[in-house]
Amino acid sequence: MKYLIPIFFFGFFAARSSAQELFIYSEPASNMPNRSYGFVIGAESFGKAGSFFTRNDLGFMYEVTGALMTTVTLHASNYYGGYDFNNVDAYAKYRIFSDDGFKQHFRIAAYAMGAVGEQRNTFADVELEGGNRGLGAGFIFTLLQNRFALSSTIGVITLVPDVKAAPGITFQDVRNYNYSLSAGFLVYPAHYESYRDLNFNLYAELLGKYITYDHMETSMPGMIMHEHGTVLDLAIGPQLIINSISRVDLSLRSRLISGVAGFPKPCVLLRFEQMFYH
Amino acid sequence: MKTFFIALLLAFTAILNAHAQIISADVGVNGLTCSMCARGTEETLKRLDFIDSIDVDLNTLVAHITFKKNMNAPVEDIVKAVEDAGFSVRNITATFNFSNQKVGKDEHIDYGNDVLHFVGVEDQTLNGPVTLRFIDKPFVSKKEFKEWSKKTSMTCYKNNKKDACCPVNVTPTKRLFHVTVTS
Repeated sequence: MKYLIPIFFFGFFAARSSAQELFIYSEPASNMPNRSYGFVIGAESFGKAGSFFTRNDLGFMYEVTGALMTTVTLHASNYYGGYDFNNVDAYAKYRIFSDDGFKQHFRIAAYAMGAVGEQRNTFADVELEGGNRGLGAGFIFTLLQNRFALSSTIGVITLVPDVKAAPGITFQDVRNYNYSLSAGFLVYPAHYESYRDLNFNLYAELLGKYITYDHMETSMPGMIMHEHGTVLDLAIGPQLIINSISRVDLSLRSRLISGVAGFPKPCVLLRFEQMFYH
Repeated sequence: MKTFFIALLLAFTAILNAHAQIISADVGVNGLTCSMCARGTEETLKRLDFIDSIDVDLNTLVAHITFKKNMNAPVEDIVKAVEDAGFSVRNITATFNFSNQKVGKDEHIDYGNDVLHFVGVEDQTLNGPVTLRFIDKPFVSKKEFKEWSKKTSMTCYKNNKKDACCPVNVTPTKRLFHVTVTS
């Protein structure tokens, strides 16, 4: 697997013309058109200790100004026992820099997000898409050059309340310093005839996080253990753009570095998104 | 004296009749590659009530726009719509129907709420369809901008904003564009 990454990325850089930045896991620094909106419905499967779980997402996106995009997404899963509602997250992204050229751009955006819902007594992951409450913020840097797009995100997520990880065990100051490097390539068509042309994009994303938290146990009062660990995933997947207004994403994700014990491992994501203009 | 008054009357009539009506425009859009982005740009431009039809070339990323008759089409609104779609204007050429419009070097003419400042043109009277190219700094290459800068001594062009050099008809509410005649 370690040889696949450079081969894959080299393949992108060796390609000559144009690209796509509607990354499957990470957001680009670009926005939707002003006052456009969209719906997204998705399912992501992940495994833990030999069991498989599914989380469903239902989101609404609205572009407020052409530079400010907002998203609200509901999450439900069967991770915490029966299938039920987990949490809702709100995300806002503001494009702060743009340098456009013919079939190219470099953009920087800042984002902030927050999630509300019941803080589950099971430590799933330090993400806001699922059974957590917390806040997050960061920056996105996106480069588009013809058919090729490259984007990087750096950010931090903090879970606002303490996490009761297990009976008698509490995690405090739980933080996820997240980073990503995403590459996208417009494979088809080589030449457009109309908006009805099916677009086929291919993506590879490195999704990393560095988790820190304080571990406390009621059986050891006054003792605080500072824990940390690295998690790195590789997600590869195709995307179809239909009628230049709908998209279907599929991504296969595998864990390259698993430095935090007990985290579920995402494996398959399927998502449908529909844009609307008015 | 009689000849003078006739000439004065004719000149006054010519000014009254001077008229510019935009017919069509080709707007090059920067910052995008895919058809989804192009469609977003087209849908955003379609919101402008003075646009009659629009067709975006998905390979050259040029929006071919035709305008409704007898409606003012502020160029500023077109630029803003492209920016609202998340992109920027690379270049603009527009065909206007002129009637008895005298232009010359650094001539400023009113076009609705826009003022068109003619750069690098000889004294002439424009009649019928004439294509103008917008040569403001964002719409030309750096090399072209230097070349056009040599053709006017007015600082408004070099500074890319209204300046003390601008005549009185360039009021604070008006948007100044620099153009040249291409055909």
